[in-house]
Amino acid sequence: MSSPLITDFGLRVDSGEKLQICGPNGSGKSTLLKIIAGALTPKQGKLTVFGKSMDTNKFYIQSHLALSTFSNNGFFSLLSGKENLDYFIRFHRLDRKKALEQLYPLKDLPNYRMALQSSYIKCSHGMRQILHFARAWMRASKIILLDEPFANLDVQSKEKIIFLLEESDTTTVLTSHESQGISHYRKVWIKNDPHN
Amino acid sequence: MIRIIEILLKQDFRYNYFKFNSVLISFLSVFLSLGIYWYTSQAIGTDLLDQEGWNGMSYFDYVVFGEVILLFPIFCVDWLTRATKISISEGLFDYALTTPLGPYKIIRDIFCSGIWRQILNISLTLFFATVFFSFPIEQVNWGAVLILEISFLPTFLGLGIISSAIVIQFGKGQGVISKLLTLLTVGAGLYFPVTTFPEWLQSSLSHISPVSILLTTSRDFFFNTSQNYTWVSIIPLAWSMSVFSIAIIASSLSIRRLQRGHGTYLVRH
Repeated sequence: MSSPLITDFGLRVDSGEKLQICGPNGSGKSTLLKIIAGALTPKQGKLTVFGKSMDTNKFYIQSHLALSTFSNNGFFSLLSGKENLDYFIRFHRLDRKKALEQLYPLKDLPNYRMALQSSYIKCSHGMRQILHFARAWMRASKIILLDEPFANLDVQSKEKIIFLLEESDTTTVLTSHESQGISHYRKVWIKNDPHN
Repeated sequence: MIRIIEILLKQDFRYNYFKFNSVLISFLSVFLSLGIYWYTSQAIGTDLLDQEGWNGMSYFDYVVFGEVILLFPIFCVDWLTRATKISISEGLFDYALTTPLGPYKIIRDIFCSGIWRQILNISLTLFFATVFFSFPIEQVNWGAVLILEISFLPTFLGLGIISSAIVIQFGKGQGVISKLLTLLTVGAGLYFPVTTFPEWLQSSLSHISPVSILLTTSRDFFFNTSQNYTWVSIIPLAWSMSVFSIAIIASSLSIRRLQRGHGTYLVRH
């Protein structure tokens, strides 16, 4: 029986709040985001989003929540970034016009156009990171969960994304293994070893 | 839905026919299989025509017709399993778990995008068999065969969902499922009649196995024999209901177990 990755963890995030979960590699930051997104079920404890329990309101919660995680790709490798985003607009049954409007500010990102034109398999890590953010961002959801969103990104792209998040009233929870970078985000630390 | 399939058709086409050579090879492989059946048939001669179970067909007609009948049902099981595997390896399954629509929507989309290849395969087989090997295409009651295929489709889709659940549960198993499908098709009488099997196996195959029932009944339609097939309509219904019930339970259990952290491929950081 494997030991639990995270124990005795409690967190409350207010609407519109910007939160950064910090911790070293392997501390369970991504797992925590997957639990909040409903992809994993905690063995114990309770998860409440918008005052509703995840156990009984999963469909509603997941409709208003977007997760961007770089760990498992999650795109069709032979389709271009544009074709992939087009697919996910339809997959999520989004209003195409609104989704494209939401994506419009991303045009200023240095590699965004190239990421749209290249097939996903040929995209650099930075370009893939932008596509992952774009897929979560186009949903204009109430909560956005970003797993290591600035890894592999150049400074200009990072600042633009921070600016976009800052300007919106979207509740933002992001993970990072470093505490520097976003000074005005509330920071929560996850310990590496839950038994110590 | 149509636009979604159109987008994924591009992915499917790029994956399977990335170079012109691969298109050519797929055409040639159909022709080659037919050639092997043809020469085997020539070697056997007309001895089979009067024997029980061969429906008076030549070996070539017997196998080719059986293959055409089984291509789509077997594809449903096999391709659904592969679509699940693709969604897992591309990380799409993991992503879909975070969405309200769930992973089966992505698997369904991938599945639908691959159907055209199978339709092409069936059409090519029939075309080559008719034009180059004198397959008596006009002799078949295609309307009746199509109805029979459609009535059995939910059964095979259900079997595909069960296979997908196995892949989700264990992260592997596609190879074993392919081997089982081969056994099932051979056992159903694709290459030789069920009457050649031991008697105890014959009765269970011809009365229970959906592949066998589909194949045997379709071959009877080959000659438009007007037997009473009322009972045949009950079999697909019974199979569909039972297989689909198991499929729904298996798929929800496998996903639930995966979400509780028992999965073999969900990446943990």
